[in-house]
Amino acid sequence: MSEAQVPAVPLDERRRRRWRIRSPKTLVVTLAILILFVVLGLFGSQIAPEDPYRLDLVGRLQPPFFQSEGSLDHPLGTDDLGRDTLSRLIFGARISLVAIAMIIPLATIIGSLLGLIAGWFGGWTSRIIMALVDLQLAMPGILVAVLLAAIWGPSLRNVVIVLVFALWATFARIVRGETLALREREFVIAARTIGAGDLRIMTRHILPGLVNSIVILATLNVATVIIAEAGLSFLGVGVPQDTISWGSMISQGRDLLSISWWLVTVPGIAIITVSLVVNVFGDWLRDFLDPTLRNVQ
Amino acid sequence: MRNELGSAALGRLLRSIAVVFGVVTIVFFMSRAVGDPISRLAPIDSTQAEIEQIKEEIGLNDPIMEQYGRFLIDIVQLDFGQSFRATRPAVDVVQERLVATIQLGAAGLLVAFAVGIPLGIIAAVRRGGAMDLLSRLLALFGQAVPNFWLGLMLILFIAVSFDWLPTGGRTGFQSIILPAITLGSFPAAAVMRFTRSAMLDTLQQDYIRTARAKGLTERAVLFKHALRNSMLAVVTLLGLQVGTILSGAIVVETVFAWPGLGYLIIQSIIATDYPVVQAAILMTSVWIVFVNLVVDVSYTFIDPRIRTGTV
Repeated sequence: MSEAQVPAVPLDERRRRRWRIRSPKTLVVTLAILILFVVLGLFGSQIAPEDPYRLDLVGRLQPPFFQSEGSLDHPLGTDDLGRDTLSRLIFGARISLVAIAMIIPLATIIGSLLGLIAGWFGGWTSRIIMALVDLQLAMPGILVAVLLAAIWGPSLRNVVIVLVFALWATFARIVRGETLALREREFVIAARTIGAGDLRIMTRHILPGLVNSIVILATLNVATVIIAEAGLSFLGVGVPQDTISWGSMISQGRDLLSISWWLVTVPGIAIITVSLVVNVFGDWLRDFLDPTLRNVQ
Repeated sequence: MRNELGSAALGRLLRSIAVVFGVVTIVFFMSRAVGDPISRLAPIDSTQAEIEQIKEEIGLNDPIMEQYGRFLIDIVQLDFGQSFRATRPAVDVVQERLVATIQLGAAGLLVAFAVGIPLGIIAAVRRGGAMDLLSRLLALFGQAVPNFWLGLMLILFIAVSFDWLPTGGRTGFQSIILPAITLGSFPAAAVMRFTRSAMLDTLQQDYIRTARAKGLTERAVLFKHALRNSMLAVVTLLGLQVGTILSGAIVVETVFAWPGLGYLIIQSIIATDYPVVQAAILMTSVWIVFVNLVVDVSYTFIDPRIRTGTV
């Protein structure tokens, strides 16, 4: 860059560069943590130092290693039944990963498809689909979760149904908006003029233009799934209590909060770290794929 | 003009009624068609004959559509059946708790807007500065920290360690502080980001340049010209946040043992008090729809640029 160009950058743009959250270094750290999370989720049972269900009533409520009573046998301490916190934490990654793997694709496909249909056909089709979006707004996911848990008891299936129901509407709304804009574009009008059918235009001409936003939106919803699954399990309406999840770990450690702080703090930090990292990655992806989308969500 | 506004408001009202109707339908079919409430209704040791008798009494043997019709009629009359636990009408049990939840929700919204709006303004005005970075970091963390965990940490550090504030219950002004902060933190991040982008948009408008060009003080430009127009957009956010606040309240109330609707719902599930769960869910949904309706309609009246069709 020649020197003459420098003053052309507005003052606050220059200031913004100084205060950047995202640097290549952050991206490397972010990716490393993400990969670690996925590996732990997939191979946790081989990696965990101990059986997360093994009881040890003598060694119960041991604090993490850096406290004077702690030891490296249980680096993150043990719970009130003597189970190893680190091993439970590693096993807990699995349920988050499973939830993400099931919920994000389902919500993305259902929401985008309905949004595309609503945007392309308009009229009554759109009105009905948008009424469903309104319905979702009036019934927060947590209420549906409570209802399902009351009927069926807690299960992973409930978590999937609830979160798909809670998340599809965002996809539908945004995809519909973008489809509305795209269908007025000349290449789409041209396609219609030469007699292309609805299905062909939707899949060949409109969908490719939507992919970026859909991918970005899906990434940004990953953290929502992690936090929501933990929240539902914390309330006892998510996965069953004997399934190890970060949320149920917090819920179990809750009554011992004042005696053993690590039982609540450690899984919480795990949730925050992964959510934070996923969001930073999503932001980066958004800037990378489509800088004009900075204000989506 | 007046008529146009009136018909827009009417259309919005009809849509809200349709949504409530949809919620009622979902709640009914989810609970009836999928699960058989008889297992919850009959005592565990009842014989087959007794079960049949109970089924006949409460009309579970009638065709499903007939049951659905009866359910609708009951709900219009606010009859949700008897609470199993309290042996009084479920709707009474729910209404008692509603006040506590509205109180907590209002306090949470107050926290969200009192923190979010000033931070958002500063971040927009000093764009790229340290405050902007801080606000972005806060927003980033606001999206990553689960509110139930934040609540537990506040209990651990402020209530248990320092004994400054009560750890739970509803015992006067001090007991609402921690729950309100917990509840308000998540929407505060949203309010802040929204205020920031609304302010940035407004500050780029031509009339702001005009205001500056005619020599108004920066203070007058910001507060009289920019802020007023930005706040209009922030008002819409209020409606969207009501759902977040109410579902957040379920979690926060459980953490702080705040005797509101959410705490009631969770307790009722544990006690399998089915009518109360149903009534509480429907009440919550109706509230969300109602507040959104009020916000939408008032928005149409506040901002003369918004006309029919966009509501």
